Amino acid sequence: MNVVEVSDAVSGYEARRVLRGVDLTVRAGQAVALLGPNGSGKSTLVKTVLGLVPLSSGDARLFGTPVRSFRQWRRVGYVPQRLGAGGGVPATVSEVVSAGRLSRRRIPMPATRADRLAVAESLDAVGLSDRSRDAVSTLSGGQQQRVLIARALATEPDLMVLDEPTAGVDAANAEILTDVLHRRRARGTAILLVVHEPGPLRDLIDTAVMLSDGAVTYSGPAPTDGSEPGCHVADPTQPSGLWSVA
Amino acid sequence: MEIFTYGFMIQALIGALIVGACAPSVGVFLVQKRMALIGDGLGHVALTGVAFGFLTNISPLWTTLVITALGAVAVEIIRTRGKASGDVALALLFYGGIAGGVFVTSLASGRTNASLNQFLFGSLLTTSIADIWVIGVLGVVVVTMMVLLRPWLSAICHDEEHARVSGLPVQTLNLLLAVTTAVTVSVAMRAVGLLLVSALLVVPVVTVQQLTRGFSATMYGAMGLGLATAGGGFVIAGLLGTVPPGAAIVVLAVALFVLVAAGRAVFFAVRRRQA
Repeated sequence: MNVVEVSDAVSGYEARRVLRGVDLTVRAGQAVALLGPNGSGKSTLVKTVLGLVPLSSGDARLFGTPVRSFRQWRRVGYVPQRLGAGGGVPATVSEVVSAGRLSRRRIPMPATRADRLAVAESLDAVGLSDRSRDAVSTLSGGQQQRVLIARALATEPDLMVLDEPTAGVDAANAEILTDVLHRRRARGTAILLVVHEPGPLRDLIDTAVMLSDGAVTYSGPAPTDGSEPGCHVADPTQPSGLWSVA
Repeated sequence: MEIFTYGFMIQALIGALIVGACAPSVGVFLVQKRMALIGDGLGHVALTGVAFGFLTNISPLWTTLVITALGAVAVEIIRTRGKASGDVALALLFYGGIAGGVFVTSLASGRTNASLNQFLFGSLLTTSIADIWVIGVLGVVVVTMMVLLRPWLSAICHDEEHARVSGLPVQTLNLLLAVTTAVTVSVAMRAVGLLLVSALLVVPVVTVQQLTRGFSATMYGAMGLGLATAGGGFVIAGLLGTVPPGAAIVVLAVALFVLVAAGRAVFFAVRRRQA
């Protein structure tokens, strides 16, 4: 059984179709990277897989279940591009990571020992145990990205979905991130990534899927930097493009 | 201080304290959701609710509760369907609520718009013992819910998309928060008045969050500050004699905000110079 199975998917937003018949497969213990220029449909494909953007035709399945009726969200760890600031009420690192346990907790029961243990282990895995009581807004961009990964790890997922995990992250932080993902993959977790360029994640990626204008143009081993048509280095200060609904 | 020996003053003080602790426990989620003004919008809708109370001779507390809850659900639906932006939905609440209140009041016999006054600016001292009981029970229900649901509500207010992918019942939680806000507004209208309700929801939160590092610390800190401000403002109003409690409470809350903001700025300026 494939972890992610998308076939002939057509989806998009009210006035605009973004994906025009896309196939994608991710198996357990496999890391698949989605590459392509802004507006190529990478983010929409990920959001379709996660059920955030509805399919207009075709099929998308998670662990064999159509996304529409999928309920085992505890098996999925999602790492968005950046930490939302919201209205500015502070949150500690450990509070953010604890949110990763909510898919396993029953409303309104308090956190159990297992919950607290999972949060502590996830923080340890990304090397931020000593920052758990700090306000997350006082961390650097790279450290915040590690917090988001820890939140996904706390879910104890069988599938991790990451949206540009290394964009705007310095080399030292990127190395820690890559290391964590390598270890997860070795334990059988499937990984689906959106990246602008493979960069530090090259060794992790088993299959690269290149998208252009809502269709797959290449699927195979990760290409070397600079050879991807239409790809450019992500600028962390820029929004991800006029047409990509990030 | 002699004035505080009267039974009705103690009653009114208890009402103020309940509202003071309860409002920020809801407000912290509204601030995080960037919907700090929703309390104000619902406060205006509550005016229509009060007017329906006049018209039907039912206690305005109950009619307000129903009308504001309906308003809150309507805003939530407009927001999620994306048919109008949040501030457009607020504009509809503001104008529709006031106009509805004046319109319906004029239909009620023996009532003029002056009758609305005690609800606009609060009237703790004329609050009946039955009303204090209702305020107390609803206040405890609201605080209990907010404390128990804190992790889930803060998750949907912080990052709705991530909450969806975590399989949380996002829509249900959003509706629950909207209705709870409506209940809080109805409960608080007696204490501070409909025009000042939002201050108690929001101001203690934004004061405390300048000093805290975490969400739960902010929530409990704001509830404590809300309680202290409501009590302090009430006493100030009692000592001055002519000042309505609602206004004293809100002036005190805003003054504390300014003090904390200024103190924090000075603290960091000094530290930067030393560094």
